[in-house]
Amino acid sequence: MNLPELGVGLVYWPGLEPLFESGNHALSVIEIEPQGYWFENPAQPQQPYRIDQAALERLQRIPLPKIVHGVGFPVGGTRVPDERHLAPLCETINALDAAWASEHLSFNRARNGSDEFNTGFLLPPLQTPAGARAAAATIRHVAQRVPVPFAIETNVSYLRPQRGEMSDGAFVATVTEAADCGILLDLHNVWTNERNGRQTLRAFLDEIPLERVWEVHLAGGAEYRGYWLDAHSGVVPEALLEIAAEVLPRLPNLRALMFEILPPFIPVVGLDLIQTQMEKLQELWKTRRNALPRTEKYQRAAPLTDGAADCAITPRGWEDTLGGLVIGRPAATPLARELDDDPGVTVLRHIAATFRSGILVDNLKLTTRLLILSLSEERTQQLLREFWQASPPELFAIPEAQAFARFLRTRRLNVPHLYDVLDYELALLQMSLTGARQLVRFECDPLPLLQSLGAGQLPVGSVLGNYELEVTPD
Amino acid sequence: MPELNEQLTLNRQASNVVRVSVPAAVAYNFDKFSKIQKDILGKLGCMACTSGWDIRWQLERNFLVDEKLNIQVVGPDIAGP
Repeated sequence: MNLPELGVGLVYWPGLEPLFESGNHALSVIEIEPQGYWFENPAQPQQPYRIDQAALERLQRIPLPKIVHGVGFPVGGTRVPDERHLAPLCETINALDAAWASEHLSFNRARNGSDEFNTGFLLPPLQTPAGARAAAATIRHVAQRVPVPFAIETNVSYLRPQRGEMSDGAFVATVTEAADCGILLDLHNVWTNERNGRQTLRAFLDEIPLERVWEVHLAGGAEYRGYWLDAHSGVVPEALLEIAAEVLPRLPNLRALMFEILPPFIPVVGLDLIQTQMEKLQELWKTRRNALPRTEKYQRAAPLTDGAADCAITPRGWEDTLGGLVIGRPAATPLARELDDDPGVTVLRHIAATFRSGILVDNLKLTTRLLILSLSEERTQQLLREFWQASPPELFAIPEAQAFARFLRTRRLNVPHLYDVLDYELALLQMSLTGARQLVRFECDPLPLLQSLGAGQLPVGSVLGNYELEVTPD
Repeated sequence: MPELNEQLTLNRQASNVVRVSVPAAVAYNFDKFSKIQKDILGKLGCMACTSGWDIRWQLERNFLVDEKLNIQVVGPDIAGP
């Protein structure tokens, strides 16, 4: 595979722009997570996914080479991801002139009877030969439809190793050989797995075809209830940097080394420290060239044959069971009960719930704030839990916010101005989708109300009347 | 928010409805919290590549507790929903 050497870079998020200015020798490539800049409009079922063209143009203007890393349509499961995402994915890849694209060796779709749902979180596939066959077929399906070489990211699993499953490394080796794809080696993910009791990073590396690794991810994490989380919450731990210094020279086809940090942590960590981190990674990148290449004794994974050494659990059964547990469905089968005993499933439930609450507080911020200030945080959290029980997660933010709005309307809460503020925030989301001006009715003067909530305070002395707030596109 | 008064227009309609017009740039920024996260880019899409703890709820709670917008240490040890 003749891929360009791109060097050291960052996953792009707003707020990091000062680091991308020309003259920063610590950065030579950026990675784009494309679905972060798409809208989903359920009202357009033929093609619900639409690229935010303004965002795409902004990304195009960044004067660095780009690579594309999918986050919404993982390829590690039995279900081929929604075909409708391929057109905007290919458009993004072409518009950014990305050298390659990648997705996760995970799944996020499951089924309950005839009802298919999003799991709200990237979940680990069943690591059996049947699971590997399914993942390889899904990867091939997507890889054949994108215009650039395609790689899969090694995933995180908070679950205990299952009886009879393949090791993490053997699974990745088998899948990537069968799919003939590249590997995005997320060292923090594999290190996280080791810290949480799964295969060691070194054993993992001994099992995977290192020549398939085109890209490495590094990130920071955090402790939670005895687990190490792949939280992308800070700089890379020193211990992992030392491991990376050993590993990088073993990767003969490595083309990019990327650092990941999530947007809410950028102001916490600060741009100066992120810049220092990038300079450290540059040093790693340079010194890898000076290290002697090591002779690897990778034993190619045995070709997959139908029905070989499989366990009684089917990959679909696994996906539907684990997906159902993570969104809060009861454990109704023996497999579900066994998984439900795994504290890793509880961790998955909790962190998936934080994503759902994060989406709402981000996109219905004034509504959420009014609820907390009027009802208390505890009561608002209870409302969220009731909503989650009633409604599986949506993949994109706007449908999730719309679903919560529908839920709130059914509750007929006695919170002054709640439904006016909700209508207002839904109108802003609608404007994002359509670009059209929006008109919202208020039963009081809207500006003092919105300004009070914007300041984190309940409004006092609202002037009642018939008001309309017109929001016009910029 | 001085720009608000400059950018909004206020009309009294014939039906006795008071209509206030604001441009999107103002409408998206009623929230003082936007001093920290002022950019809507990327917020409307789907989740990022991570298997960690989302702290946006905690940040909101911290904002409601601390209006001076001091950035506080946040992490998974702090209880969320």
